[in-house]
Amino acid sequence: MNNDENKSPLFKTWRQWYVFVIVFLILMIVLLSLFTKAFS
Amino acid sequence: MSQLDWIILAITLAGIIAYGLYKSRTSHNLEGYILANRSMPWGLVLLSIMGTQASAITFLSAPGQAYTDGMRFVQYYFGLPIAMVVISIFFVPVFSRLKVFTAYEYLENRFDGKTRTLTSFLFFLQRGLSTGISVFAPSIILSSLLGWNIYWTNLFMGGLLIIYTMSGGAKAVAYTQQLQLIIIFIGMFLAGYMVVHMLPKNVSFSDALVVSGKLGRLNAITTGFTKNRFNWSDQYNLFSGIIGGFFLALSYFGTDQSQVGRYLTAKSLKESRVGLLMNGLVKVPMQFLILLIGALLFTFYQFNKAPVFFNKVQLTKLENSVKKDSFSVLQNQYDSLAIKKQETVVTYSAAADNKNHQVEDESISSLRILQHQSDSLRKKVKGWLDSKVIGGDGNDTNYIFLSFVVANLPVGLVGLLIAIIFIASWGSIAAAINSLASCSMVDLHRRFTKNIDSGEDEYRLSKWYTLGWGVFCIVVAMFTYNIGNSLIEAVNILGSLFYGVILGVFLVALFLKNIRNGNAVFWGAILAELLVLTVFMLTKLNPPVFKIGFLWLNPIGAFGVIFFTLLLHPILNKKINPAG
Repeated sequence: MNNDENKSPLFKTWRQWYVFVIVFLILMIVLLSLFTKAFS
Repeated sequence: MSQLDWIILAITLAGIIAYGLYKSRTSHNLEGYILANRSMPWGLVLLSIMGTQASAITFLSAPGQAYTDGMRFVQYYFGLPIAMVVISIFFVPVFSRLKVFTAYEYLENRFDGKTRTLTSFLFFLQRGLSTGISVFAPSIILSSLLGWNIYWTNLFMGGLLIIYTMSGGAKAVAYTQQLQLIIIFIGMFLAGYMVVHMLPKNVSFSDALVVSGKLGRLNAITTGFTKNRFNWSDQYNLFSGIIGGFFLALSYFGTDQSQVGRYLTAKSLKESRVGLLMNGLVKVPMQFLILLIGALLFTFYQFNKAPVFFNKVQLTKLENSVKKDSFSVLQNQYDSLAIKKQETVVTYSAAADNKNHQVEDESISSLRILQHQSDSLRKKVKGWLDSKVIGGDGNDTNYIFLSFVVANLPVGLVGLLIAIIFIASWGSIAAAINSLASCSMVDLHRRFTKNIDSGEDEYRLSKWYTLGWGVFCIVVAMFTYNIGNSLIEAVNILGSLFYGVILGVFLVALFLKNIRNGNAVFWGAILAELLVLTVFMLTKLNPPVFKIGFLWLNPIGAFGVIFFTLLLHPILNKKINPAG
């Protein structure tokens, strides 16, 4: 398979994509914790 | 339902079928039919993955779940983004490099034919039965609420989608899922808007959130710890969501052909990966918004009288049972509580307008007490329905949202939301039938027939397998009606009984490179399955030996396979090669 064809879009490497997804999850958990705290 | 609702329902469903048929043109060979010639861009892959996972019950159950138990169900999805990353790194490149048609094909390359057969058999068992239930579950809800005949509803729910699924295979499934999801999102947004719009004029969106939150419905994060001890039987908390949810998502997206088949249609490894990773980004916010509708619905029912139980058919059963007098007394108590709740919540909203914090706090405290009393009465009704004397179904979670829709939403929107129930079902059922047909063709037919079929023959046969599985699922749905609702619960946890073991086999294949002996992993999987079934049975004894949430069965199954394979590998290797 062609390497260019499988190059990561938006980010330079796939590793950055993976980090972004995990950081986004952590951010969601933090935001949801704040949401729970704010309204309970 | 009004005439306009019927027209909107008919147009939406006919439109989906016509669009599916329009997109049915594909090359007449196996790759064209079951993998859309591996030509899909990541956007379609993403929508197809989402449309396959989100069944009608997702949209019916989640708001009901938030209404009864709060928003903590969102934590069930916390393991999913991590699973998307792991699948993108380890699973997708292997499937892509080997150009497999099904996930189980890889296991024959890696181990042997019997390991492939075992995992595909577990897939047939689990997916075949659960797809039948996916037809039945929304049908019984629509049938109960609208008085429709259950057999005809089952037939429409499971039958019409066969037309385009059989005709266009994976390509038609993906394109219709794209259109289906757009309609579903529009409908759910309108429903959410209407819930807020129908609150009293002086109640703002943030007031609605405060009422819901103070009464425990915005508990999006819970730790599962009670009295400094972790509660293993608690189904949804941060830890079971991240760990149990991770294993469930890893198994579902990495090894269940109904999902693997979606990203194998991508035109490159890059498109598969982006589709999966985007799913990891959007899933938690999407579920949060669906649950939020249920939490706001809870506020709506503080200002308006809620039924004591949302499934009218079951309620009628209770009204005609030996408990009818006790129920009549309870109903009166519930009604007077509802009036008190309405008065208190109106006092609260007036105090919030006037910034009178003391009255606000007092009103909220009173509301909490009234809600607690109200919940206790609902619990009593559920207990009566579940009792052997009545023999009913005490779970009305799936009925809450649709009851609200039918009773409160304007003409036209009711038809659209009922259409959404159908098309959400069609999206997941079509993908499941397509994947069952793919496995029947690739993992059974191709392996066990001596005559080599031409591409055209395989295309034609795949269509027949699609029809066969479609009919099978409808038959299961009809059969379920005769057995009763208890089977639905059993099949809901069926996934967790098998998913962990299938995942374990794939984990051994991908990460334990020194294990080449197919016998070790095959018997390891059998022993792990027995372990999972034993653990499950022990939790179901009366009284249970111990209690654990069903999500934990996934890691038990996966680690069980790894453990037994490592244990058996040296023993079986010696038997094969005594000198070595």
